Amino acid sequence: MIDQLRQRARELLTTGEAACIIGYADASVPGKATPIVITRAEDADRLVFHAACCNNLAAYLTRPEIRKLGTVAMVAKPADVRAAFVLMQENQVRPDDVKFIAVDVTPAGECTLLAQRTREELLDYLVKNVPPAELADDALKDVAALEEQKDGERWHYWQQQFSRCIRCYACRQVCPLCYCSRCVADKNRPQWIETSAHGRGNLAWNITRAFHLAGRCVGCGECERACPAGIPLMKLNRKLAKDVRDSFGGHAAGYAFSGEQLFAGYSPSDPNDFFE
Amino acid sequence: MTTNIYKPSLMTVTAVTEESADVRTLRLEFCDARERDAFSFRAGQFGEFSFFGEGECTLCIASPPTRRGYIECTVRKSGRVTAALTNAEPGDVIGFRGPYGNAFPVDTWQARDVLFIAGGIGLAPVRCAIWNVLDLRHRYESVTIIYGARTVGDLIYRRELEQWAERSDVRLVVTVDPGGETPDWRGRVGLVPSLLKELSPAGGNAAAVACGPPIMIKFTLFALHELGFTPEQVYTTLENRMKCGLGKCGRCNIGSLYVCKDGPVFTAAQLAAMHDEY
Amino acid sequence: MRVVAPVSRTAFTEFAEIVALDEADFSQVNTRSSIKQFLFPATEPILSYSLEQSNVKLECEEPPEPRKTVIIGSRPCDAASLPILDKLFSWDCEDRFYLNRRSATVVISIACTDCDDCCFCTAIGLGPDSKQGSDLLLVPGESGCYNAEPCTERGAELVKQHEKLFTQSAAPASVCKAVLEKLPKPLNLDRIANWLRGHFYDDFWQAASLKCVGCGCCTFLCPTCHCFDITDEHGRYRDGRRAGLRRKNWDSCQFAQFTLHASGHNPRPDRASRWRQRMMHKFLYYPERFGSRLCTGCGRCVRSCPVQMDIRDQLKAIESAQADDDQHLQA
Repeated sequence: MIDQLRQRARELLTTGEAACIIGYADASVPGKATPIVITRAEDADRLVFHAACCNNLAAYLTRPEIRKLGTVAMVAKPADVRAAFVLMQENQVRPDDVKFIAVDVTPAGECTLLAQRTREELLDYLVKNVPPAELADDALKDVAALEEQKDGERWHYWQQQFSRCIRCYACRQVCPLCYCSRCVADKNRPQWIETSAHGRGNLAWNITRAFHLAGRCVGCGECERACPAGIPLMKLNRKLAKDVRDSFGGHAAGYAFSGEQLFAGYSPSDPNDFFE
Repeated sequence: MTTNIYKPSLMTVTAVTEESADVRTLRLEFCDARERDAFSFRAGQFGEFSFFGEGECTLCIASPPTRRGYIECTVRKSGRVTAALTNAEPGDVIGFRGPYGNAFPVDTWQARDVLFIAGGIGLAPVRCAIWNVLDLRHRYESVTIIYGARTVGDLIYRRELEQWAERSDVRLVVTVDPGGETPDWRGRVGLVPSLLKELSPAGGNAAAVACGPPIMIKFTLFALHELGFTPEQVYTTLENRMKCGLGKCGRCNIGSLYVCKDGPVFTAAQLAAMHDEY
Repeated sequence: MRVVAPVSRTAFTEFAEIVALDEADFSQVNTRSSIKQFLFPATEPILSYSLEQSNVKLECEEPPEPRKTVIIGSRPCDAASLPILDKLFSWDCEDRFYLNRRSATVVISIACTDCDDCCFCTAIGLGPDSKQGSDLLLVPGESGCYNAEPCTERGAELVKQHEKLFTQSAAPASVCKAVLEKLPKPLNLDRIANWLRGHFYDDFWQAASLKCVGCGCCTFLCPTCHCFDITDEHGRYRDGRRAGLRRKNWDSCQFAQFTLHASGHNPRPDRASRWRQRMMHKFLYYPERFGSRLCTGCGRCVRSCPVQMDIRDQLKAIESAQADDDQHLQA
């Protein structure tokens, strides 16, 4: 599989279809993978794909240094493709500027290179074969457990979790959908979110981020993996994804690369029964 | 005696001068008489000025050390703290920590010609040195001030410009950029570096201070070089984003130099050796 | 007084206050975050104020009396960071928030008998049994006891005060040689500094930083990183007065707005310039200024980086680039 992946990368570069490939290479730490950007066909041999390739490479699509290179071909797992699709839908990347070298990992742990290449083919593949992992029954078990807690318990739980937050913003920086050039947490007129790593500031930061991702999060889990404090961020993200699904006709992020965004559009027929 | 190096002194705003649409000069007096009496500083040093609840900002002390009992700062509204400071009124209490940084070596300019070149709000950090020299006028040879701003409306310290213009022991040239003049403008029109070349002060033994927008500094330093000034004869004052002002927070460094400790006053020679990181 | 030690209550091993020794877990290679938090916390108030129109009162102006703290089970790499930080916090004027805590803290380190793929203390000139920064170093011996090596007067005093807990030992226990074999060779740090001095403008920085996402993991977990922000936070009204705190918070040179001017100008406008600052500060500027590298090789930056930025790879590349240059010059 890896030979085919490398070959596809080589072809994309030699034909000029892509100016660079964003993929994974083996990290210096054994067993880990690291993102890599290659621009020469001969470097394609550095590309790998295995279970440790966890980064959501769509996070690099909005980087100015990457945009400058030109058309990007990214090695993309289903969640990463979904993330790229959300970026397209939100007009952050031009659809034609992104090509995909789509990969997947079967439940048995086998890495496959998908035959689908175009975004239409991949969208079709996702819709037919890859339901949102973050909304699977298994994935929602801990959300259900939290939902069953009384309000005070749940609040206490999250206060405890967020008390460990050190405001490193790794969650934000690895997330493909956190692409704002000036994040709300970095603004001080007014200071919407206190920058200090205390309970109040941390709650404001983490909850705000979760809400800004509602309906947009593709469930890749990178935020939780990157968090150096071990905060179960995905629990909150999954909860919001579930609420969005249940309140907005089954919506899950990343299953369209064009058309109206869920929360960025307005229609006069939107329900208004909460206004009295 | 406090052990808290971050603790500010309380100062009362005793006067506010509107320099231009978004620039104010605040005159400040220590609330505590002992602090006032114990305080001294040198021209070129800066302080961290607080508006409690908004934060602190770095401003040069714009008044000269020869005038005791008060200090002044000139602030342009550009962010959260500066917006609060430009809205301050007489009677308001703000915080001050300082003096921090190094100073213009005014003592070494004695018996020499002194040339001050400033652009826009860059006149603020130079003004303290100008008054320091003028308050001890007899110690210095010729004093020349070249000051320019983009438009007439951007000129600051207008009352003092008039005072300096009237003095026979100061040569003052005020200019605005081409297109920045008003119908009744009687000063010069032209960029500061051009006027400098026209005036052609000799390098010789003179000391020159230049402060203003980066592009003005660049061309001014070049013009001074052509006029025979060595880089050691030319001083400027840099600003960088600062927080603590006293060498701990690690924010203002240019290479291994800390602007808050090794500066903000630097010679053109030091500037030439610096990396492009300010 | 409190005793803090590594505990493994959550997914990570972290320092926490213990009341009984069996709460501690000394078996892990290292804790997730360093002992820095006990001397220089992620956020701390440095002043409180209350306002009523133009009437300002400052309160809580002095650094608080710190709790006496015994840190037991820190690794030599963490302990070594303290003398490095001491230099900055006492440069020219004393930051008593840090220094008071420093005086009130006793560091009892445990030498390492194991390491992981990320440790590199030996590359920086330290080692699994370095004494730098510790008051007392406990070196694991064969029979499950520790050889106690006082490193400071305070450490010696501690042993003397608790004589009954110690027995005289003639033969020092040996640090497991196996760990030294796993740790990397020393880097030529002078050579690295020389390269850095001459290569501020170099394509290296763009390539080296391309995959960096610009978070603060490396800086916040690093035991020697010390940059901070000062910010005011309004709080509640108290007796008709608006009260608030001025705080000192961890900040990171990797954040975009770290050096952003109010005018919008940013001397470090891109990822490459900010990454360069990190490397330069640690291996050139701080040594030039204070005589120490701003790194102890604990490996946390490598362990925690979400995209596997590896400072060791970069140091090695720089070292060999300079070696080539040096050879060239000699030829």
